[in-house]
Amino acid sequence: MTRRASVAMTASTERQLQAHLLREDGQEDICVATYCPSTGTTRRTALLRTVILPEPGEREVHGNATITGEYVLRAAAAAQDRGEGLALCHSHPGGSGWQMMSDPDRDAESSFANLVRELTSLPLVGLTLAGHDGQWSGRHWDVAAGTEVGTTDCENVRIIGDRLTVSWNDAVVASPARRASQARTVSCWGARKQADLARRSVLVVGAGSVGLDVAMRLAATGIMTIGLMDFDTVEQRNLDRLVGVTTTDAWLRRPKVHTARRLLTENATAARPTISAWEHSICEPEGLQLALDFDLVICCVDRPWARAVLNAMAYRDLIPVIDGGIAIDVFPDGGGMRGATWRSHAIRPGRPCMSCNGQLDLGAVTADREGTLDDPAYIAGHNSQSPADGGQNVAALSISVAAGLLAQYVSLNIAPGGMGEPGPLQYLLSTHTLEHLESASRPGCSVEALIADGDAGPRLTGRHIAAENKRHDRARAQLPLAILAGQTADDLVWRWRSTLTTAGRRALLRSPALGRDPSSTSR
Amino acid sequence: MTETVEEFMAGLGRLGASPERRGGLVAYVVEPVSGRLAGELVTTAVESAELAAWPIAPPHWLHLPATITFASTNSQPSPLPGWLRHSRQITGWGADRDPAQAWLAHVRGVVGQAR
Repeated sequence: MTRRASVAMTASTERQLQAHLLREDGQEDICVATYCPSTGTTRRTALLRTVILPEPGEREVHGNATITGEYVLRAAAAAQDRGEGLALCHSHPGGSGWQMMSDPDRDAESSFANLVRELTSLPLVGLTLAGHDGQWSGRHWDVAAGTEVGTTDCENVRIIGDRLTVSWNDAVVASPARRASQARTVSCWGARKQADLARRSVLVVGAGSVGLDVAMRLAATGIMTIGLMDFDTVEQRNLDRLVGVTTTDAWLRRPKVHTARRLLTENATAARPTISAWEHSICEPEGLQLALDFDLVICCVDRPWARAVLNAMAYRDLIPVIDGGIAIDVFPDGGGMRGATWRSHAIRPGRPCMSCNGQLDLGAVTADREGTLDDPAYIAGHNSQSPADGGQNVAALSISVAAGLLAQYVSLNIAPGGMGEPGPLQYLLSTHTLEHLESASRPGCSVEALIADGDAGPRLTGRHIAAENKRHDRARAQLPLAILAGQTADDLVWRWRSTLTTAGRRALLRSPALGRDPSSTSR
Repeated sequence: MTETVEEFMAGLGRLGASPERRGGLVAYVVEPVSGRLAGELVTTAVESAELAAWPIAPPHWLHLPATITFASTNSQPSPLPGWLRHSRQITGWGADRDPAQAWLAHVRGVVGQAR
């Protein structure tokens, strides 16, 4: 059930709107734009697509601004033709922060709400741009109240460019209190940035060596809402890379996300962190729908199908994806390591997609989707190795991939020195060289053509047999009695530890306030 | 998926490849420009299920009559009687403006290698 609401747009759409709405004479202005919905499990986002400016005579500026019914009808007809909805955008030139609706604003939007819904079959979306600080506020006119229509206030409005800019509705997602456990973090970018960053929800797809490291550091940074998604089970062969995961977890056949959630819960510095763990693949429809509830996704998987799903989502649903990986080059005779390369990049409108920058082979997606790459008959005939078994990796280097992803995350969210995400980066281990990689979007790219298509765009999801099999293998009925008993004992220990952690958090909340930390030297 | 299959068929139809549905497959013709079958019209097919992500992701298996053989191939039985499906992963997918044209070029290249 979708109850939360949001609006997202690209930085270029925002520039178009700003150019019209922020006038040199300081008066309010107004215009409309079309949008496509993007529906997650709990959040519905309006993705702005096309700005439709008023023709002469269709709007009047007189301190405030008013539009004619003809303008709305023209725009609604255009939206209807494309199967899109309509957003009414206006400015408050002297405003700052999230804008409340004045009575005239409410009257103006509500007067068009029923008409627009009737014409487009989608709720009217209202947006206000505060001229003083550039903050947006938004609402969906989607609540039926007799013959009238009411609003669901958005939790945020997101602008996707070389940095992710988010306007927050404090009444829906409260600004977190400052915490002593985050003093060093806050000292880096300030309390205001921290309050913004902490509220930006992040989904980590893949809870392997890289995903676990990334997620742990997000939790330590104070991110309030973190999702973990992985269908895989902890196995002995994972223990040389999953730091914090134990032989007990492998013995008890725990899902990777289960152990990751425990570790994050113990290490989170947010006051009331929401850490969700899903045993899905992002390739499953339910997995992708869960992802659409997040502001940002970090891709820590290497299979082509999963990465293709996230690659498309970054453009279609305007959710930036930070992606990367490592390639370790070994001598074919098993005689040692020649070198290693790790890469990181942000996938978003305005940057080449994973395929265009050479990091995703779309030709392998269909075979992966069908399970062909893991089919023993196919592997035998192809003289190759299953991707599940292949791929050298080592904990000492996977942390470098995690570091690369997190550095992209900080640049995208914090923009140190006013610089957003840097584009694709590559680190060569043998020479210890960091390279900025040149890559360009291919003119025929069918992925980047999906910008803001939302629910109308292709999803690439489907039934994922390997994920179903893993979950089935972990089902209680499949497990020996010794493992079931071990799980029960392990759960009891965890409950005891959780109680202790909660007690510790409460006790520390009464500790000296932020800013009175006597130590000031970083180590 | 119906939409993506129709899009695939429309693209091939536009290029004169005469696509038609045969059970769970889409059959069409190609004319290789090199190899033993150069200049002949060869009927080939892909599984409709492999078109679920078309044109973002192309099909993997090429279905051909078993009489068409290759020096080296990874093949499996096809649902079409007397046919085999051959594993052929296309490289560099997504670089062309017309995916149907890119697909036919790939298939022509593969069939051109037949013995």
